[in-house]
Amino acid sequence: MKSIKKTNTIRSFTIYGVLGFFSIVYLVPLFWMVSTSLKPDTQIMSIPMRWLPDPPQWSNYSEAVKSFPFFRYTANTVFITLMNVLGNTLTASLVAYSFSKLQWKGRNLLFYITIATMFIPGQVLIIPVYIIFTQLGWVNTYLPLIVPAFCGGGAFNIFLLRQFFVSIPDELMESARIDGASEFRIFTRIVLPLSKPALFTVALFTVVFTWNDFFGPLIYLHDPSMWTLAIGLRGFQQQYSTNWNLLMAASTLTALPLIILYFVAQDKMIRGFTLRTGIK
Amino acid sequence: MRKRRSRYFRRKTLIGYLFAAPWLVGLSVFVLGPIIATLFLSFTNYNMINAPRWIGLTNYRILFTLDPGFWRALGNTLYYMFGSVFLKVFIGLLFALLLSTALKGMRLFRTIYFLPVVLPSIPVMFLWMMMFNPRSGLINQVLGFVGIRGPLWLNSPDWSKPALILMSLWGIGGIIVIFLAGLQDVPDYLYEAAKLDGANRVAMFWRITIPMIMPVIFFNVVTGLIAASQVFAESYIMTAGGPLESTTFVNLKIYLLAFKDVRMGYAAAMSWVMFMILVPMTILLFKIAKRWLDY
Repeated sequence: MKSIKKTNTIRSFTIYGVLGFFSIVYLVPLFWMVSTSLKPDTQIMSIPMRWLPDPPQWSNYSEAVKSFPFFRYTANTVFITLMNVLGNTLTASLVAYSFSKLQWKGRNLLFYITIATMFIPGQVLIIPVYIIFTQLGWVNTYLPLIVPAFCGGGAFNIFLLRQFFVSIPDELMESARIDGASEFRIFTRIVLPLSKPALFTVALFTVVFTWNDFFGPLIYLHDPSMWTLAIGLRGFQQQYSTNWNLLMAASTLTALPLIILYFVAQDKMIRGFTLRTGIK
Repeated sequence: MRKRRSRYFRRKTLIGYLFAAPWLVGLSVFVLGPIIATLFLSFTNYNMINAPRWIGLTNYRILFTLDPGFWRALGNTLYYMFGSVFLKVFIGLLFALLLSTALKGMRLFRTIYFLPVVLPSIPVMFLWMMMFNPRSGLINQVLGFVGIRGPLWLNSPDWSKPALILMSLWGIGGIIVIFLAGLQDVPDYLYEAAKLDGANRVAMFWRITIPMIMPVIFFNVVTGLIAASQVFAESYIMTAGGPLESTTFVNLKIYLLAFKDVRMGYAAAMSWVMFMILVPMTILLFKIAKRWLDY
């Protein structure tokens, strides 16, 4: 009995040791980003390296946001992100309701096609889509980055919401139908209020994705005053390539909203992430 | 009576379509239409000024026989795809197994490992460029502490792809949490029954855990390969495709062809070839993992 206990202790220690060691390894880059962002110029690339800035130079942050239109880019990014959140939650929930709670011909086939599109690599779609937007005269506007969100919100979000709607008991809807409520009324008054957690998950994913999107803004936004943080940072880096401390300060500020969001809602994020595998 | 019934079903179908309407537009305009349009464009010469001109299989002929750059880019992309996915799945499974033990504090570890997944990719790339610096970068300095002379990383044609693969491992959290969910899904009674039969840990791992999570492993491999095939910003921002074209991936080539040289037809042919490489894997995934459709 005693020896089992002993091997168990050794086993726990080993597991903690391995996981603890790699946790440090995983946190070091993030620590390095913040540490570098506070270093004076002379300490950035010093050999031997310095783990901590001495003294921390907080003015790097004010200098970084003055060196490029940081607030403008933040506002642009926030605008595009909010529009995507609106479009995705609004239209993906409509479509998901249709796929889960309405009976119609061709529904299952369309749902299978929808799932299949989750696995289509973007490179095979982008050229015609770009040509369409160019011909509409939408290049150098925010429309190519916003309008697609209002067209169903993408396969993944539809799938995510549909899985949630399926779990809402049909009886709730049936009784409302008997009372003569329209489908739209049932959708807005019964289904949506019950689905707040799922809608929140869709919104979370949309924020993370839109905030980080690089390719879309790169091909559609040519006017620097319209840039988002992702391509704005790229412009900043090309101009101040040696000022790693300022670049890291700007990078930290860009990452900060997402880090906060993660700590507020990590369970929802992780749950949403695993949901698309079909594991319950 | 019959007429009324059919009217009732017609009305139901109409409402169903109305609710699905945004996606019917999105699916046809942004997904299904473009797939076909890309195929069509790949048989043409198109510079966005003149109308597309039909040239048959010429783009594909050039691609396969006269453009060594394409083969190189394809080789680089496959190297990156398989290298990063193999390591991510293997290491991700190991971490998930450790994290699924019922010890205290596992939630904290999970939080830490998943965190890099949500970080914005562009700042992360700048950070790693800095860390990969052969002389003053964090990685080689730390390696120096233990007496290892680190490689030139992004400055070396041999090490540039391994460097990008190493960076991709920072984002392993996504695979870990999917494996964790898969491991929790394995019914406990299987292990209990095996224990009663006197099976040891190793036997239970190979005979129960691995077979039960095979679909999850497969899911991670296929979705990982598809995601990794889109590697673009890494080479665009960190290496400009170099050194010596060692990080010129197919998507960087497609980007330069389509959006810089405006050779839409040729770029379309390239993306169609890439698509054709990925399609069989996706079909296989569907055959094996029907489970998403089941519930």
